[in-house]
Amino acid sequence: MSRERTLSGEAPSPEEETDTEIIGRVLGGDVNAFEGLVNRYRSRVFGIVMKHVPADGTEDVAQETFLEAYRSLGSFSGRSSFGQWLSRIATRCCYHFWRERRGSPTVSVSSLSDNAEEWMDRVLSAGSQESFLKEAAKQEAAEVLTHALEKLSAADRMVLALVHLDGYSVQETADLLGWSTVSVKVRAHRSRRKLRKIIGDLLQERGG
Amino acid sequence: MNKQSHEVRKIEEALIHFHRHRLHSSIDRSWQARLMSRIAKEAGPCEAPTLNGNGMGRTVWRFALAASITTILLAGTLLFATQDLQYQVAELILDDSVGMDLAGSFMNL
Repeated sequence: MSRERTLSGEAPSPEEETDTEIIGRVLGGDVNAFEGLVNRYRSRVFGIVMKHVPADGTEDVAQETFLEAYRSLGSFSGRSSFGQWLSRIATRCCYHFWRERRGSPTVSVSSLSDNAEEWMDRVLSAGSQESFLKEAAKQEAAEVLTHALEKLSAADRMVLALVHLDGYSVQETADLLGWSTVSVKVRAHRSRRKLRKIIGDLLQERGG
Repeated sequence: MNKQSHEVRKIEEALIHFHRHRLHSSIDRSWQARLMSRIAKEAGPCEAPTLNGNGMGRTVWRFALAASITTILLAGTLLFATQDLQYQVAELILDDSVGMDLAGSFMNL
């Protein structure tokens, strides 16, 4: 994000300030300046968090992301953009969310509802690409996806979501999670195989 | 590709499409106010994250304090222990002639 001072030499408005300038102000003691970064990157953080965390957890995880960014602001080196740095924090907060949730005894994997099973039937019987996409966009898909992902470990779930569902490359995923590319590649392959097995089981249950 | 495998791929494709195009709920208006209040609370009255990061700075200062206390304690212990040892050696040589004689008698054997 670039900025130029006005000809009259006036200080830039918050919208014109670069991320580095805002960070400098926060580090200099102006805590309220951090809100400028929140305004600028709120949508990006929510975009990541909403894709990876259920609705009841998005606000908390988004808050944790910005709090963690605030705490670590002094260690931001500027090698990558602030947005990329923040995306990494958001992704890791999502992973942390699932690690904690997997450990809690409240998680239960129930069977699919009739609606979700009917949705699978309609997807399989969709004749044209248009009707397939129409079915794929329906809300019943959320239940099937949630059901399948809940059976995976936190690490498998995050890698599967980033690589296969979001479409990030192995390198990008490794960078977001702070893991090695080999580890991501192995886990991506394994988690996809697991997802297919889960879908296969669901199809069999529905048939039986 | 058999029928089962084809069906699995089709459902998988539908789930990927759903994930990429799903609509998300809007952000609650009070969310940002709550966040800034938490940040203000975390920052304290006039504290901001330092260049090395808050946690790092605190750790360094804690380590420095612990290292100073340990050094003082070690120096004190060493001083007293050495004084005591020197005193014992001097006492043995100067005052304890009986003991020295006893040791000498053994050496003469």
